[in-house]
Amino acid sequence: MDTQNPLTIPVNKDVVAGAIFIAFAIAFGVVSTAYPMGSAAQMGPGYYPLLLSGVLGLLGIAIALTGWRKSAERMVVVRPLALIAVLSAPLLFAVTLRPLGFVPAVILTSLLATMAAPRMSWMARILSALGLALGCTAIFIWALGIPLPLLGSLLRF
Amino acid sequence: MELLDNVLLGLHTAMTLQNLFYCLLGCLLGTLIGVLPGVGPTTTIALLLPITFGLDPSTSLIMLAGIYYGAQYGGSTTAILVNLPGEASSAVTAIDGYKMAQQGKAGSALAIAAIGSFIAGTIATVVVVVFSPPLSELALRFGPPEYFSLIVLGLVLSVTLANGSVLKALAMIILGLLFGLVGADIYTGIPRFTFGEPSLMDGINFVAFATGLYGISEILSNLEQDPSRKSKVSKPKGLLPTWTEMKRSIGPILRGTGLGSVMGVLPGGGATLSSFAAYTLEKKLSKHPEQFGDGAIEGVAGPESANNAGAQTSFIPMLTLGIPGNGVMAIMIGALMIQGIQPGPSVMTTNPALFWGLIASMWIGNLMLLMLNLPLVGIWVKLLSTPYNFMFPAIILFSTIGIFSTNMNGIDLGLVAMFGLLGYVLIKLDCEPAPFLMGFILGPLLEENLRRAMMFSRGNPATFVASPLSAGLLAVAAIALILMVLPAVRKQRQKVFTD
Repeated sequence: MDTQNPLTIPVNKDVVAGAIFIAFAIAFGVVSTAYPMGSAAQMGPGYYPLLLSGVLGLLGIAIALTGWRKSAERMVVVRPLALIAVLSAPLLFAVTLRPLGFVPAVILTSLLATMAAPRMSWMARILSALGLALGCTAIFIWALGIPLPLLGSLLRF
Repeated sequence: MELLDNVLLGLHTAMTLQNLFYCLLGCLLGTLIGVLPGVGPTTTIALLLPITFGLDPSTSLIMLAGIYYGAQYGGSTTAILVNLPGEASSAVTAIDGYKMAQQGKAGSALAIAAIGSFIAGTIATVVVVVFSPPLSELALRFGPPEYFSLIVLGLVLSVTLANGSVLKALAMIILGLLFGLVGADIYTGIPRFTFGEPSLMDGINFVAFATGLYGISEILSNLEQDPSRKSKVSKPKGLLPTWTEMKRSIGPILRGTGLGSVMGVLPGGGATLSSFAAYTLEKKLSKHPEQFGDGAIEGVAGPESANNAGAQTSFIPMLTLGIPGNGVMAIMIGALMIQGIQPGPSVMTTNPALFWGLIASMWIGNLMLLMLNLPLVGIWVKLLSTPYNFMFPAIILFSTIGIFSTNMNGIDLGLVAMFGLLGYVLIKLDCEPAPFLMGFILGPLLEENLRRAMMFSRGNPATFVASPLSAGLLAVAAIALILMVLPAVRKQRQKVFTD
């Protein structure tokens, strides 16, 4: 994989943005219809969100239309591997914290996060994880006193 | 003298050992994070927000304000030394500041930025003291229709913060309003958009929202390029500006302060526009406009003072009306609500110590920054040379642990990832996050006032134009909106942002 040059993909920005807004408008709008509507004088929980979804849908259509005639432009985007590593790091922390405890969760999360850096040596990754484990324990557990077990139930014998 | 009593009360609150300590800590941490390239004030505050939760409300707000000034100062340090402005407001500083740094005059640029910020901060604090009480008295007389119209105006003006298409900014506001609705309905208690998840009943965790939108999405943008590259840091030689540089700067500092103080009060104006405006003004007034862009000290002094004054006076609408003028103030409102304080005109009467203590600490914070930052420049330079490879995992972990510790709830970490992705995609599509954040914060308030006003008027929407005040606010919003889509103004706005 070429890690030197940034990754680019062709995107029609206005059309895609419009489509995203329309999708959110439909999602919020459909869910709102499940709530009582009420009347203008006594608005129910569904009235205002449905109104907003309608406006958002119209704006989405207008945005998509402005981009309809333009052609797609090449745009620099983040690599899929980096994207997955960064976004799943907080999730890994959430999943590992209870069973493994704070220190192992920090080490695993930071190892996962460094996967987003393609040309980092394993030594540097491990050093950075250990450094962060020490630093985070010092700041969050010792200094701020957050009540989290350093080692989780699975690792205590 | 009531004003004097208030100021004394404020100093009394701000000068307790505990509050002084947290003000100092806030300034230091704010600078520390704000110095990191690509991390602007809004991101810094979002990242550091969780550590203020354990404190009592006034201390926590004082620390947050310290973080804000620190972040802003840190941002300009980075702009001057490595030409990597963290937020639009310091982008202008980078133009001439970085040129000065390349010419070996980084010390003067940093010192002038600090001195200018301090003078601007001092004057702007007086503006806040004088103008807040009458404004909040006026706002206390607002009924639901006036409040509704005021929020609409604030939201419309936040479009000016975004430099892309007006349609996209409007859509971002509406999307923010919708996400702000997640949770139990205020009148019936029916859960909306919670998908049966009990922790969403109180709404989406604000810190998770802001961190994802600003922090995580920014990391993703920075990772587009290979992160192992090192940034080139220009080391400052001397630190003190020469006498001529001081003399050249004093005019721009004072003009920048005036401009910033006025523009900061306007919702949507805030720090960013005032620094652009100050730069343009100094360039117009200068006898040597050709020096601008080539290391003119006026191009650092004016915008830096303006953006600090604007940062200060943007507290006025936030504190007196409960309406945030920019992303940072939106986060401040979120922080107040987490502390159980409903921001608005009543804060001044129900919580005078908090209100005046915060204002006094603004000035103290500025003084601390002036005394601290110049001697610490060496440390910031070292920090700036750290490769991004080591920085971004630390930022991810700090925010992950910080967010988790606010509610001890894994769902919040899922929300961080979700809003990180959404924020990144939308920013890539030229949809800016500031209007999204404003909508999210103001969504519940807008709905509450809309429904209440409509209830009082028995469903007649004419209530919003029946009171002259409400009608006036809506008219201003309408005019602003029309002006923004007019081609001539649009071009001018683009010019301001690209200059």
